[in-house]
Amino acid sequence: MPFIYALPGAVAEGLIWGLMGIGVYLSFKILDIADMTVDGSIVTGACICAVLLANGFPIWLSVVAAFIAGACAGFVAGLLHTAFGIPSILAGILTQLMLYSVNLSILGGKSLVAINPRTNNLLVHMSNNPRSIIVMGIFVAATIIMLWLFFYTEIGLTIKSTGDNPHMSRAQGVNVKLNQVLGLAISNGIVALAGAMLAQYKGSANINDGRGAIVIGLAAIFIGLSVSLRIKPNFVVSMIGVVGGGIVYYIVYNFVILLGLKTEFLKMLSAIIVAVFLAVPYLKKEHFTKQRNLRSNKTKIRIGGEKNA
Amino acid sequence: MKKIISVMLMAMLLVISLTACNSKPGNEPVVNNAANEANNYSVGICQLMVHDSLDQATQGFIDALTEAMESVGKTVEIDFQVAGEANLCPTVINTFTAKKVDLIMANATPALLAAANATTSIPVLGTSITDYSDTFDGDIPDNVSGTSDAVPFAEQAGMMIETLGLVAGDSVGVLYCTDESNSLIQYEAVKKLFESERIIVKAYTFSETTELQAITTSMASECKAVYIPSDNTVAANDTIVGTICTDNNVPVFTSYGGDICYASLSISYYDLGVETGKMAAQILMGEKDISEIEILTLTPTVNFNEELCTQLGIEAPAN
Amino acid sequence: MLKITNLQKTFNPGTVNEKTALYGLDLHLKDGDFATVIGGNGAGKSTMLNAIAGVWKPDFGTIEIDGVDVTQMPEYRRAKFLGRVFQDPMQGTAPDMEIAENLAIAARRGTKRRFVWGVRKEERIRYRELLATLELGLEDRLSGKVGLLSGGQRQAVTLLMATLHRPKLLLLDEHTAALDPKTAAKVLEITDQIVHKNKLTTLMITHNMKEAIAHGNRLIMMHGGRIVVDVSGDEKKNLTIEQLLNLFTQASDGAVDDRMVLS
Repeated sequence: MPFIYALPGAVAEGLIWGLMGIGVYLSFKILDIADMTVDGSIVTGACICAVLLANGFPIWLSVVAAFIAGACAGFVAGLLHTAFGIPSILAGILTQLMLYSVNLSILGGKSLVAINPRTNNLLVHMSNNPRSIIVMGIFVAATIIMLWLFFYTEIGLTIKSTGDNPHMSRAQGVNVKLNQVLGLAISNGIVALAGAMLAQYKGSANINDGRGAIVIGLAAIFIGLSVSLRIKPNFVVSMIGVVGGGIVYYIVYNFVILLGLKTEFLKMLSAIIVAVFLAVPYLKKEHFTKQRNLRSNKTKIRIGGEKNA
Repeated sequence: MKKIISVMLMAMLLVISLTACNSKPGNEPVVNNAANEANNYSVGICQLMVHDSLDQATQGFIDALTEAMESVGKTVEIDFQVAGEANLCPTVINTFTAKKVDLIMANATPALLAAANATTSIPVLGTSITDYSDTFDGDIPDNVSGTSDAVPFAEQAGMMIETLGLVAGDSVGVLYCTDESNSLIQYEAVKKLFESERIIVKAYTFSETTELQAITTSMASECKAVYIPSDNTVAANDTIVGTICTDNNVPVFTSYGGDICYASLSISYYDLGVETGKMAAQILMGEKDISEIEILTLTPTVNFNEELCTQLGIEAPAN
Repeated sequence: MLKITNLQKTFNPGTVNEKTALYGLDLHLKDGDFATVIGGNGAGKSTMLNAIAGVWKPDFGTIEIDGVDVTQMPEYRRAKFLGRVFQDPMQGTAPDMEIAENLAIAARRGTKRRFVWGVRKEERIRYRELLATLELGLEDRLSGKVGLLSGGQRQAVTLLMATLHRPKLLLLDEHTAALDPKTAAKVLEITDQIVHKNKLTTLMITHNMKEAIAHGNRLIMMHGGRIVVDVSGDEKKNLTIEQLLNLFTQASDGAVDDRMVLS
């Protein structure tokens, strides 16, 4: 059954995009900012990593540089929003546009740069999925732990409150604007890190790697949270859920390609998956609330009747 | 919980039904009996996206391969996938390696790189790739070969200089889309050749087709002639380019053929696919090992558009 | 403690919606004053509070808190001098975070936040004790998310947050207006306790004339962006609602608010 053989690759890719999903979770859910920069910053991470490797730089430097580049992108988006008052969605889109040119120039005008797996000591690679899974697993775990610790520090708590209630945060002396910039920098840094891993995994950085990236990130979040929130609604479990969502997404992708679905319909499939996972809790709530109301109304009428008797 | 399961089942049913009413051509189940397993081969085609020349290459490949295999009584099961995007190529290739196909055909550079990175054992044939050496930075893996759509740039430049009477100081504009990996390679090759004759070469690039009109207009006003490499995006939208250039009396030379050029030196992508298919058949039937196969380029054909030549006042050579 | 001099603010100048909310406002609060602020709609009460908090910058005038000129300070920097409770119970707390976390953030208002643990074990014990004094049963829900609390409970927590780090000035913007009478009374009771215990300088806006007379040592009435009545001490204690209404009618040339009369 070819599906079994496709699983390692699906899990490896799912972990990489799960990491990206964590970055998107930071901006969308924690900061409450719809940050569209990610379509650009994931490519930035991929490009920086690929070009540095092609120029003989060591792998760890390339990966760290990718993170920093992503953080700069997030910083710019944050600046556009906080210092220039541009609405956050627009700020993200503008930054994404700028990043296209930046990424292209990083690639030296070419639309893609290959990464040679034979001359570089890559952390993850398509030809060795088991190892890639272990390495990505460690990366993801490390990221989750660091974020968990960070968000329990004094500064981290204020970043959470900035997204949760900026009004209250300002009244408590929190520099909301600074926190938004900082949060976007961290979020895009993580996304770029995922981009660097993606480039290593598939052996190339492509200028168009980011197209539709945000949809995959959001899909991972919605799929993951719909399950994890029911287990325990805390930060660490949610992060794990997001990564799980990414893995589920890619398992479904592989499954569906193997079934013979035309790849043109994969985009529609993504939309359906996200819609299903969003609709189920909503429908559940509606259905159960109606039932409960019917029951309680009956009791109320009875009581009123007795009193008035 | 029940609700989730039922909704998921519905979604799966929807997916399966979509699959059923969209069964792809060329993917017919092959009647196979166990004793003849050695006679049935499986091939995975990963095409980057829907584009005219890529489609033609795939068609040529499928036609040639099926014909070659059937002529010796063997069957081949072809799994043809259009990834749609660069970042979906690894996923598609992963399904191929999971199915343990006997050969992978990668149509366009991102697909080729994904395949080459996924496996060092399954033979990978590329097509619609301009420069393998540049793609792999000189280190082409042993299990990779294929066909190249490179055309002799020297001949093209020579043609333009001769027929248009270009001299030192004239400017030639090169129009291409930054998304296309092959275009930059072709631009740089052609640029070197023109500049050795001290002809000025300027790149006019765009990333979205909405920018095409503006960039063409500025190019037509600044240049004496235009060279278009085998860029799929331009080729798909070249009518507007043709109109603007003809209005400005700027002759266009293309590497892909088409209607807007006064002349072209191009190859047929269908033929390119056919050659790739022949290579695939040789590999599958064990006639040749992939490491023995050299990257193949086609002999291009010259084409002059007489109408446009007359309109622009260009004299086409007798042959 | 608070010195407002000639404060002026016009919203949407030059447009159809132009409104001069504050018109040469002067106010001087001594350390320890508990002033209730009353007035009709549009009198400028909330505007004055927002000006003090720094939500926007005034057109003219200065604001001094404990001798420091804060007129040009952004809202978040001014926060270290102030404690605020808003009319909307949802505004004062972060709903997706624990009560303990909310309190921890409030406790650090005015200090430089660092990379150290945000809520320490000793803190949780302290918060438990403080929440117990509210007598609302919240001390058992320290790790619970604030969003699950009722409006009154959230206001009580906001009040606690406003006074955890002793503010130089406590600003209460109709903080019981959105609550039911029983809860409102409870929150006012807690307010009195906290203000009295910590001897806080307080400005409390209220629409309720009875409340305005019953609480605090000073009563300020605003109309048209200015202060029109200012009574304190015994004169305030012995005011009746009728007298207050008369004062108001005189000062505002007959403009009386239905809401004021009915409450």
